[in-house]
Amino acid sequence: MSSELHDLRNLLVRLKSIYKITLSENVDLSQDFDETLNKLKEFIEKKAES
Amino acid sequence: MPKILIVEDDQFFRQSLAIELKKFGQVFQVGSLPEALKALDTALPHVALIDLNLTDNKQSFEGLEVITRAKEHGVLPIVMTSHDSPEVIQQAFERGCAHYFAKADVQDNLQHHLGRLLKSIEADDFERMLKERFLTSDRYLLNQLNQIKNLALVDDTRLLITGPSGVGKTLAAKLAHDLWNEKAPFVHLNLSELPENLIESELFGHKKGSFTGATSDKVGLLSKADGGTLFLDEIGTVPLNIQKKLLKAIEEKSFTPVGGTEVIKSNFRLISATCDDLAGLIERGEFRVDFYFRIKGIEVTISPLKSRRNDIIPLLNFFVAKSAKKIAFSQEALDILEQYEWPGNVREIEGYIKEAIASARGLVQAKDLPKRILGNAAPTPVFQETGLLTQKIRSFIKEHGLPNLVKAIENEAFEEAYDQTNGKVNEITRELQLSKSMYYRIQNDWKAIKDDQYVQ
Repeated sequence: MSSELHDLRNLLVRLKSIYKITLSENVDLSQDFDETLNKLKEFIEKKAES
Repeated sequence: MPKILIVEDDQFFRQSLAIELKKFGQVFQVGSLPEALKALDTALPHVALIDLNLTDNKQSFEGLEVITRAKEHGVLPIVMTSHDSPEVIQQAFERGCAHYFAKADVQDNLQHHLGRLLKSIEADDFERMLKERFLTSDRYLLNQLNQIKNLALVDDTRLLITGPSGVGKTLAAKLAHDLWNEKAPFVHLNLSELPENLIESELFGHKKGSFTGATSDKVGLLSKADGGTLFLDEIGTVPLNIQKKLLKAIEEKSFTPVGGTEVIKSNFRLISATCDDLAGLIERGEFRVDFYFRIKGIEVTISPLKSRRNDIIPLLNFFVAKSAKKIAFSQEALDILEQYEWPGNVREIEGYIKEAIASARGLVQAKDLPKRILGNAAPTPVFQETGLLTQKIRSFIKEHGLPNLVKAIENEAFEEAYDQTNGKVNEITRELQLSKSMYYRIQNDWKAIKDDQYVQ
């Protein structure tokens, strides 16, 4: 549980970081954003199945 | 400006944090343990924000090693992690972590968590810069120099630096300039080094043919200082007619070159310095009173070395360390050097060290010291510290007067008690044996000095 929580928190922090960088630096990080978002989706789906 | 090191393996979190932290200081970012250890050595940060887990292996906590090394380097370690294990957090604190934040919390409340901390580091940094540049531990001098910090916050303020020759007035002027804007021009003129008839042309410039020898147009220093600082050293030697013209230029931010008709605009900050008694010059009609008040602004006095003898040995060591050839002094020689009056102040110490290095072989003993120093050193028996009056106190009274000494002692004792008791009134009054009215009087004085030192 604690390991999963750790992963989830890291993914959320990363997602928010990408969003912040995109806003302030005007760079295209859409691929990284999508990748992180997909990992989050996978995580949630896996959790829902178990 | 605080230097902040971010040690974080997630490049996106690291970068977003760096963007936010740029508001507070100079930011360095690294993503691994070896890079972090190298950055601690090379970037010399004040504070390190450290992620504990720096690899994909969730069970390894390389950040703990960074905490230990940061502490060894005198860097403030702050942990930010998404790992909640109480054992790991305990280890972080055992290694000297100063604060612990969850990453998500740092991301959302950075200003709240770190803003105040970084501002306090900035204040400490200024004090450290003063100590490094002036090599002084003298509280009175540090308080004087602290006033310079306030100047950096406003654009149109004048500074007058007073003190005897060789104490570092130019250094103070440069400090004031650097704090305000080190990239802007800093134009320095020592007025005592110029013949009277050339001062006007040097300051305001001249047109070709305006006087014998003016073979081409010349741009004056007032123009060169546009957007920056004009530092006029030995302002007491400016002739009266030029004082009048300078006064007008300062007030109107414009002037006319010698022999010219066009009005030139120049927006500069003025820093003046003098070792003369300007009040005496005014009394004798040699200095305009309106000019005095125009240049004065904030006045900072740099005391002579004889009134801060604790600085003598560090200064000697500093100039020896700067030289390629090394020498050392016997204790007896050091005692004499510390008692010497050093009428030429820091400049004289620098000159003496060059002299000593040129002639000495290794250890300098008392017998090797120059006659002027041996003859002029204050006789030790007179300064035996039998009562409360130490040599330092005697020098302070001579320089600043007894009332200022009493005030300085009250402030220092108050500050010490304040720090020890976390500002608890009852404990301070008990510790210092003060009545409440005395407490409030001293607290008001102390607060006024603190407010002067650090404008938040």
